[in-house]
Amino acid sequence: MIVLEGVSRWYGQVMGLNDVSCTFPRGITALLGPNGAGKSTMMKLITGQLRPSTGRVTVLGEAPFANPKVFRKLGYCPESESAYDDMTGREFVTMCAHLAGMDGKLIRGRVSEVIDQVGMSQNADRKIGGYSKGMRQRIKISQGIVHNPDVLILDEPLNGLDPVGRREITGLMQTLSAEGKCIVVSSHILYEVEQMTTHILMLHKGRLQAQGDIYAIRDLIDGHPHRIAIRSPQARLLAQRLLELPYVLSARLDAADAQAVEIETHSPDRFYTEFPALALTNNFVIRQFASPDNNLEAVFNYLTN
Amino acid sequence: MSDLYLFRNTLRDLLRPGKLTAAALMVTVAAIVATVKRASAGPGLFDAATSYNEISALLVFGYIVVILSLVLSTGLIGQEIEQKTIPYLLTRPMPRWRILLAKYLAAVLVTTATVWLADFLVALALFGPAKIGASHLWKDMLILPLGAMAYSGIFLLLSTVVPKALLYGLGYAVIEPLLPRLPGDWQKISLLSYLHALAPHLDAGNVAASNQVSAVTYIAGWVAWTVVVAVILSSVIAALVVFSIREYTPQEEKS
Repeated sequence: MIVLEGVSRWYGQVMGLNDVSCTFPRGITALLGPNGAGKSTMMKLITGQLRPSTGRVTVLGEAPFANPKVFRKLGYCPESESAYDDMTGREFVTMCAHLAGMDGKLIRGRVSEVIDQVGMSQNADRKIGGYSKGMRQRIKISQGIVHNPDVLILDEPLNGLDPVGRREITGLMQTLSAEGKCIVVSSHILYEVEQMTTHILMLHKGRLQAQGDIYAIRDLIDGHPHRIAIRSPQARLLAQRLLELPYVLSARLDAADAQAVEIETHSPDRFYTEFPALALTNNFVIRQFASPDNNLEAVFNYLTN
Repeated sequence: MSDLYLFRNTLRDLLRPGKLTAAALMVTVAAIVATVKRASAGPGLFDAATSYNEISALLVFGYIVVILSLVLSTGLIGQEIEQKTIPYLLTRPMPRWRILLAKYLAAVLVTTATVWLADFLVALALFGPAKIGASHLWKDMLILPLGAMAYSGIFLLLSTVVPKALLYGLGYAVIEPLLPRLPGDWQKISLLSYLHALAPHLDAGNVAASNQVSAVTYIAGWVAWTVVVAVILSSVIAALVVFSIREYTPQEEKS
């Protein structure tokens, strides 16, 4: 439904997107990348706010820039928290419905329906200026879906939402996806989008790094050693026990911090699953547990190196 | 329907108490200046018609219509970009030129209503309710919307072309009322000169005479009409075209 062919976009001397070719089919596609990867640029190209410097973008067979034909079937939820603070949530969504050219008689009912879908019924008549970050996110999503678009572009839609909100919005996207819509969701948190879809597209420094099934990419990532840092008063003993595990490649004690131990493993998922039992069985006191590699930046390092 | 909704919505936004402050201030200043002028004149020296011509030409036509057009018109796009709400407008199935035209017309309406009120209060303060009909108020009320359309068009075009249009426009707004008072052909580059020519009692000759300003160039009525209408049409059409083809995204999001 969305096709990018050799698309590059420059901002003066700065490259936003570099020779990207990809397609977005029906269903949910997660657009992943660290800050500055080019996700927002790609979304602005798809939503017709920007023109490509070179290459071609088509949405439902049409070039999207300032094209009302495309916008009739496209919904967009920008990343920015900004909305019309003097309006109530309901007024904002109503305005967007009117500008989408919806039939005036249907608007009131449809606006209530989408406000309910995003869980904002109780707060819809309050001014947006008084909304929390999560409420803004929800009302922004409702304006994007009010005209029932076939293509939905959501820029970091889960930002600012609490875990319950994330689950609700993820569920809503899955419902819309099941209706046959093409949904593009950007995020810089890999594990967040794993719950949403298996189809991902990874950008890094404006280039398309990987595209396809998330598990295939995770397997690729898991082929590289994964670091996990643990702090425990029994660091030396803990390191000894961890080295006995077949999937732990190394354990390193920190000379500067007697409580710190860092291990490397090929199977982070297995380690995460089995470590709590190991700690309980051996009565290890765990003060801190972190994975410096468990973020998208690290994933990109793996992929690019 | 979308156009009408956007027009009404823009109108409602422009009439919010916070936004009306500038308009209310200007109307109040005009009324106060007229009242002081009348009160401070010596016995038998007060000439309501001359006072009206001066205040209407220099304050209402010269500043209020210009400043108000500047503030309202540059904010139509500038504010949407600044507040990062512009994507909500530009990703709707409505041609961009219609979005801008609806907003422009709303700004012109608010500007016109405000300058009408300012001019009415000036006439009322100088002539009093009984003799207000003796003033040139009603003729001026026909010309003021043209001024609002022309200046709003110029500032709208400016805001579609450059960021911080308010700042650049302010420079223009300061110079513009001074140009008709300059000798020689300088006044011909000022839109205000042509508006004065359309409201003959306000022409530079009358005002200059009362202010001991030097030579004045005569501008024929048909020339004034042609120039004002051409400025309105060319600036508005150019603004609509530029807005339809340019990219507008909040600056800090370009990454």
